[in-house]
Amino acid sequence: MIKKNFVTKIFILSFLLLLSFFNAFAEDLTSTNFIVRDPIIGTGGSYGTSTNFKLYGSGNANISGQGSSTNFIGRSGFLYFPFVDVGVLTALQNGVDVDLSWTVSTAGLGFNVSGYKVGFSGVPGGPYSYTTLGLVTTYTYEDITPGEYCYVVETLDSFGNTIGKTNEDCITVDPVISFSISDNSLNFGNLSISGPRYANTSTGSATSTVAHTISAGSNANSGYVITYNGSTLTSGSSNIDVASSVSGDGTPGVEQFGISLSTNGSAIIPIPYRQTGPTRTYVANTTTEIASTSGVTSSETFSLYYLANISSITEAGEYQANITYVATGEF
Amino acid sequence: MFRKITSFVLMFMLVLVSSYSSVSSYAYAASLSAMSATLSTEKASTASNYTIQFTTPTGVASGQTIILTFDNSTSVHASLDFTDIDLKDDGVDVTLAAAPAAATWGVVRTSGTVITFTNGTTAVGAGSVINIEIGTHATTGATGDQQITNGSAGTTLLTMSGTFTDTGVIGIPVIADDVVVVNARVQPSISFTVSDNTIFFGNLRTAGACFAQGTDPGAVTCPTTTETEAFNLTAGTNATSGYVITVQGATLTSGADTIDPLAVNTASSPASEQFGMRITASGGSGAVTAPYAAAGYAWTASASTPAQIASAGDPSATTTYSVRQLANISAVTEAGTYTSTQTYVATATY
Repeated sequence: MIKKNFVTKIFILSFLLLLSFFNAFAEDLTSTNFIVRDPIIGTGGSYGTSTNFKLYGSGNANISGQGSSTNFIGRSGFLYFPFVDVGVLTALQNGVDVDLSWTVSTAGLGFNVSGYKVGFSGVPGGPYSYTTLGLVTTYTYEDITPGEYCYVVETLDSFGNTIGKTNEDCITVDPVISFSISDNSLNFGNLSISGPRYANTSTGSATSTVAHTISAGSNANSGYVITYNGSTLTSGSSNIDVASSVSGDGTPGVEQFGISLSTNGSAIIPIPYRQTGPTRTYVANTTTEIASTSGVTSSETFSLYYLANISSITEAGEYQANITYVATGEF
Repeated sequence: MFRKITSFVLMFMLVLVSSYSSVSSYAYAASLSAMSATLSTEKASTASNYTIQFTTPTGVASGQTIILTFDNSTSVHASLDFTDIDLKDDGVDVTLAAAPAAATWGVVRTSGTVITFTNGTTAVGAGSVINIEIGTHATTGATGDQQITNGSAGTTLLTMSGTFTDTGVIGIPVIADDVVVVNARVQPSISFTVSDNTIFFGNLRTAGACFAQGTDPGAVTCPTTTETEAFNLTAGTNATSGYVITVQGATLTSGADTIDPLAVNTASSPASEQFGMRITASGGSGAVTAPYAAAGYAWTASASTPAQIASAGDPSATTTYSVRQLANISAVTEAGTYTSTQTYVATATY
């Protein structure tokens, strides 16, 4: 019984050995960094046709090398194929934006770099949402809410096909809210019963003028709110009445202290405060909203106007209003 | 052998399923939503009240913690404790103490940048809105007397974490100065006019009262026998304490002869010597001073002593004072040309 099994095993091994002799082995192609095993180019014994000719396959061939003339170089074989070297991608948060930068991709032997596609995803590994670009090496994703984001850059060939992809760079976008006030001290100068006065950083003006600006921006999902809180113009126990939705210069001869503002952005300014309304309002000693956004916005600038009118019986004195402006992000 | 392998595979699958079950029942960290931190002032290095609000998608189970962590050199006052804090669950204040007990939450200032809340036994439901007030505006139970000092100018990150598993980060702006000081000046002003500087009685008489008028009637018997305005004064000011109008001057005088002035408010009495004045006021808030406001007449000034005739206690729009002057003579009043030189002065008090 043992003898019979042994004979059978010998027979099977001999058969496999015999089969191996009939296999065609191609010569491996090697370089410093890789080995191409069994490099066989085959036409498969079939043929290709066109109107004017037929190309018959003659079997498989082991081809590697190059021929050259004055005007061209013909290369064939596994050592010669189109290549692309992709650059390194870096993603950085810049305020409410994410700036991407990458080094140039280089290509050759049939590949030409025609542009790039930048992609982002909320999770590592994608799937990515792509934006096709030209031959640039920077791109900015604007108005990005806080969270983790992953980015890649794909290199495109002449046909717009992807021929390479960079590293994936994942970053955490932190909550950001910027807020600034251009000037903290304003003056009306001498108020008058015969005409309006507008505050500025000098001695006041008889015509409407921007007193100061406020800049704000945030990547808060639900935007931000700007409020103010402060007294009306006050001198000891005397104060100037607040304005309530007065137009233009208001009514000289009547006590009025109001503010209005405009923006170069998309923030919403409540009607009582819209400079372009125009209406001017002030609510004393109550936290009151004067501007808001509903989503991510890069920094925008608000121009603020301060109007004061007095009556003949407005008490003489040095008046002052301290107004606190606060910006609150709604993340 | 087969049974052993089968047994091993079954055990492995059991452990695998068991592990999956336990992981599934574990509450994964979720992101807080609707997060905001509102400050009473965003000025750098300044004590401020903080109002922090967020929605917890998971809720806060009994004994779980909510940890607030500030960066950017923010400083939680060393003495800040639960009395300086209010916490609302869906708008309802919860009771706070130094340590959790029953339904009471515990609050601890863990460090200068960390405050830890520990729930008592009452779970906070998923989707609840948590509102935390830290500072002097926290008035539930006790009014807070400690605040949080803002960090440096820039963005402060407030991280919310803890064993309640939800997490979130809020950005808070901090700026060098968030107060705009607006200055204005209202200059002192006072207006004062006298409508006529010369008034005339004509020839005084004993048969009836004589009133001064603005036009010269010539050498005729008193043409104005009923009270009429001789002239008017107007005054107005924005002085905080208003103004006073005085008159200084002697009664009607002719050399050494005078017509008796009325020291108190007195009705006209023809055939007796009387010189007096009555004033009415209109507009503004000025008022005539006694004894010139009543129906009769008076003259209390002298050549050397002024007498107050009107005043306003506050800033006043223009008041018009209508001045009426009466002269009566007796049968023995000396003949002559009589004159009274009266100086009116308005003085504001700022």
